[in-house]
Amino acid sequence: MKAGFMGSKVNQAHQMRSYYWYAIPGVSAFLTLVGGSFAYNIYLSFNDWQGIGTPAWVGLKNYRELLHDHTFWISFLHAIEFIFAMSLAPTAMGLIIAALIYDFIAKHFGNAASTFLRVSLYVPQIIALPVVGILWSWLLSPNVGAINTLLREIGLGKLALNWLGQSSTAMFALSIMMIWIQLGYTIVIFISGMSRLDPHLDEAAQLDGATWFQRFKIITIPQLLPEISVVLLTTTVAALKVFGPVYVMTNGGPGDATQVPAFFSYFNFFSTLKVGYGAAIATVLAALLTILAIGLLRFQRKMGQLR
Amino acid sequence: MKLINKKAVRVLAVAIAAGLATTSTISAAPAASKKVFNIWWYSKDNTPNGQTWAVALAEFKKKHPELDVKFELKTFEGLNNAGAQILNSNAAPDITEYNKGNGTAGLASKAGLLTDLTSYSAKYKWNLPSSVALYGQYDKGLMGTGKLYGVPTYGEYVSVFYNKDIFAKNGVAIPTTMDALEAAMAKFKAAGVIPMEMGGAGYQTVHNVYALAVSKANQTWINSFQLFKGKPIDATTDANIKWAAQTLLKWKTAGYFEPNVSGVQPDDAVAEFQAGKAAMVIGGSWLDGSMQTKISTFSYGKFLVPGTLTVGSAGNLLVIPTKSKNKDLAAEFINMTLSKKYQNYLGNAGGLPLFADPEAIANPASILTATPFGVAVKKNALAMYPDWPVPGYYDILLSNGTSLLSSGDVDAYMKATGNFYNSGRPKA
Repeated sequence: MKAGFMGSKVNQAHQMRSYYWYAIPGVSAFLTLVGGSFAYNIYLSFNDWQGIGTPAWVGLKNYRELLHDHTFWISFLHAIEFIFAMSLAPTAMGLIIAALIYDFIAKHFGNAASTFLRVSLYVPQIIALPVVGILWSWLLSPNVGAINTLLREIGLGKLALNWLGQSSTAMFALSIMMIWIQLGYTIVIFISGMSRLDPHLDEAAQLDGATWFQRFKIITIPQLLPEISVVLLTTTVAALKVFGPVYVMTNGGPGDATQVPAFFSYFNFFSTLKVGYGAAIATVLAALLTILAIGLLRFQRKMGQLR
Repeated sequence: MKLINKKAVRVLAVAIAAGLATTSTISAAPAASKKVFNIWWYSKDNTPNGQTWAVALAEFKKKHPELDVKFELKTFEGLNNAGAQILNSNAAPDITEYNKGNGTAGLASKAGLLTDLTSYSAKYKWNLPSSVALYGQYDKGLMGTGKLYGVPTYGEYVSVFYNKDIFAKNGVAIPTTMDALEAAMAKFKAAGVIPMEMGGAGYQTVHNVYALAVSKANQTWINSFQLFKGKPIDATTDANIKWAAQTLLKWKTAGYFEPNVSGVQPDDAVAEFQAGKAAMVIGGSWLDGSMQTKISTFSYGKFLVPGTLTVGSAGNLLVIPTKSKNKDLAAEFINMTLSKKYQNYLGNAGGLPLFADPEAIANPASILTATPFGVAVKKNALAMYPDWPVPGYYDILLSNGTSLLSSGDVDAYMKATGNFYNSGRPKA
């Protein structure tokens, strides 16, 4: 008996060990593609380097310079503004629109109508970003663009602003575009979440005379918390590392009105060839993202326990 | 220095850089036993330059049947951003077009990635005039003097394209002074015509400020600003740059540009001019082809921005990487592109040759663009391009130029661009 017991334990350990082999592809891919590059990036951030030749060790110089770099701090401020445009606003609007489609459109106009709406709202997610950039540059063009032409046609010529051409409106114009892009993602996740909810709760509340908004607030939202936290986590991380829209639309301008950390890092890396400085920005950004992701994951776990 | 469609080109460049590994393995593994000769350039095949080199390459192939000639069309941005890394790798070609300037050819020469062409220049008797050779000469990575690492075969410049019909209708002659130019713009404005097209959201902002700055400058200023020779320029307070920024704003306030100029894309601005909606647009010679094919409802001409100097230079370089396995053959190709035969061909294709016979060029469109260029070259008035002196300067000039046009804050413009220039200038 004793031998048998020991045997099973050994077997278990043996089994565990055999599972490790399955981790090899994932771990080696991580180490070569992410871990190695990240370590190299951290190494570069302590150097002065132009991309060729030998890096020169300068210690913390790049980080000290960062502390006093106005553009760097302003870029983080913009990243936080992007959290609103890419995370908070699309999540809030997505919840409401998803509930409307699920509770109202699907019930009164049928599944076909709701599917059509869902798909059309998701389309911005599938279009390649450079195409989106060209499309919106044209929409927002001050003199011949569709948005300003429409505003002038309906007598709102005063609102026909120079959207991307002035610092005061460039961030706003980019934010509208980001909400347009992100909305489809949140809606699709929330609708699939809603279809998982137990309809009995909702029906019981309806019999007790609860209004739609009361049911939405008290029954739907609390049950959707896992989906909400996943959406908030992924979109917040996406907002902090946003690069593409800035790259294709404004190049960080006018001035530094739409400068963001990822673009600023790229600019130093490839345009000014201050590779070490660009690496330092990337390292700080990665550190901030990691802290934020851990915080959000903790929050998500807590939410899960509350339920 | 084509800065048109910079973003689109950049996107392409990233894709091409990503695909580079693939292309290099393909070209490195020929089935035939012939010796492979790899040649790259990024002048597109709709440019006079690309066409001329293609014809020269065809003759080169015929002359060397023993070679397996592999040509790849690269992008300006691809080689501008990742060029040094490519030249440093085993994927380096035998000969390539390469961007002139401290940040590119200068950096590569400093890192020992380019072949010194001095002996080839002597062997083939190129006899390059100093105003041409200086773009290929680098000393410790700085352009202007030193060993010859590259050879330009064509020129480029920025001038004013004008609508001859609008000028005639309003009784305006070609302005030869800045006052006359401003008087002409006032006249067009009063007549309800857009005097000057400008894409304030793109490269035209960068070029126009510099075009105005050098219209007041002399070669001593250029030597200091571009080549860091003589008394250093403090770009936060420089009188020429400040005057240029103020003048551009003055024109904007006077209504000489279309409204919301800071949000207009250069391609749209050029299209408006080509549609006959404006009297003038300041543009580079790389627009010659587009102007020639797209303008049909009126006749157009070109004149230099009034003043001392003109934005322009010899074009990009042909270089032989240190890792080239066929240096002699590469030099032979460079020699072909410099020959009268192909220089004249370039001129007739609408390009700006450096060594052509004026009598050999018959194409009227070529004469249209070559004449002002000839004037600028003759009076030694080429002022190079604004983004050369410091790596990354272009993006700073662009985003702050757009900001200048929208905010009207000259001091902020001088501070932001000036500090970037001052801190990026090599320490003496």
